[in-house]
Amino acid sequence: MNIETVKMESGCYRVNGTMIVPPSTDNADYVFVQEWIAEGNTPTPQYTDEEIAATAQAELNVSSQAYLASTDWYITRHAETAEAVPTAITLARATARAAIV
Amino acid sequence: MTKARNLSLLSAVEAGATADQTKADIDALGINGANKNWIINGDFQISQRGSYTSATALTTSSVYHLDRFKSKHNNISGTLTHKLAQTVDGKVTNTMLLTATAGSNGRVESVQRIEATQPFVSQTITFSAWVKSNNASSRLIIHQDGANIQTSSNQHTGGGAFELLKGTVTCAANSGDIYLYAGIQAAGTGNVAIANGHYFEMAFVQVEHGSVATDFEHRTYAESLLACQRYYEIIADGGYDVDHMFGIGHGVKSDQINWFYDFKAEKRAAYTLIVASVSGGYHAKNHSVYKSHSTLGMTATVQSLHSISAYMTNIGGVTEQSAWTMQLNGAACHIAVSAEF
Repeated sequence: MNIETVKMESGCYRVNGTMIVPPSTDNADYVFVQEWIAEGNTPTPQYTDEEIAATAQAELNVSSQAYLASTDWYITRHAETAEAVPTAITLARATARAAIV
Repeated sequence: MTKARNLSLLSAVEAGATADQTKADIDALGINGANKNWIINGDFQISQRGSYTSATALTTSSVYHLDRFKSKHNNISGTLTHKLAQTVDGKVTNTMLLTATAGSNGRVESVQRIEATQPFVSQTITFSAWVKSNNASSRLIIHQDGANIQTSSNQHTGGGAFELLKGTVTCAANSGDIYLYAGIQAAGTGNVAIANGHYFEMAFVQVEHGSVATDFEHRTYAESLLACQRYYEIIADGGYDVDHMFGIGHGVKSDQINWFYDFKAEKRAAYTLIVASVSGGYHAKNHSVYKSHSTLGMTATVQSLHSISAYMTNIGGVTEQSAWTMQLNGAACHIAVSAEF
């Protein structure tokens, strides 16, 4: 097997982007990976710092959008009845809007 | 040995032979009931990894092409070709052809490792194949890994016709794993003089108990495929069905769906999941909503040899415990598992 890239992923190795190899000495591909490591190579983390940041941002976008959706009724009520939106809600919605990228 | 000669030998021993003599003759004839052949895919019916009917380059590291046979070259270059419907020993069969495409002191070989070990301990076995070659170093070799003993068949004459190569060996008490090597190689699986254009074409590969090379045991396509699937199994192939449904999924968190698939055959050992990377190639569908990704993954835990529990992750908007069907989305999509040696 010609190994070009190895990433750690969920306790396995993802080899060349297409093979997910479990950590078992009964697995022939795992033996190849161990030989590759013994030659001085190092598997890379599953995600780069940029990918981790992007994932965190994506999760923040989802949670922020969900919060805005769950509090939209305050805005609708204010528009229809002029009842004020609580200050805490207004501030939290502003924070949520700002968090979305 | 032909069936007529087998029957002749049995007839001879029946007249006045002792029970022990008769049993010895039957053992020598390799009459072991069904499944006498320890080689899987010995007539090259199964090629799950792709089509190799056009010459495919070999590498210096062993690679599986046709099921259960791992092939390579050493110190030369070479190709492998799957030849269909060839006439060998008066029968029509598929063959596997290894061809040297450069000359030097080297070798081309295919090997199959037999999974079972206990049935060979201190037992006599016979290995055989019909081989066509233009190199007189073409041979079969049984390698007993535990005892580190190699036993060669007779060599091919190099005359360019199909000849029956065969050998018999009594395995050691510490025989260990049994390998059958086939190719242009030295008796100990080393290098030999090979010229550009030298070839090794084999058919009807067999390893059986007993001291006689009997007729090849034919198996149906379904039997052979199921035997091969213990070592390599295709879960879904977009080349066969572009939008094939391959599993049932459930939402486990906001960005991940886990899916499972029951294998057709229990796997030999912990397996590698192989997923062709295709942009948007893998879908999870839930009513009119779908999620897509270019690949799939699996964890090191929660796997069994009977089924796989894998995942599609880095997708948003998944409700926990929601139900999904997993589906391919393109001809290039391909999912398989390998538990080969």
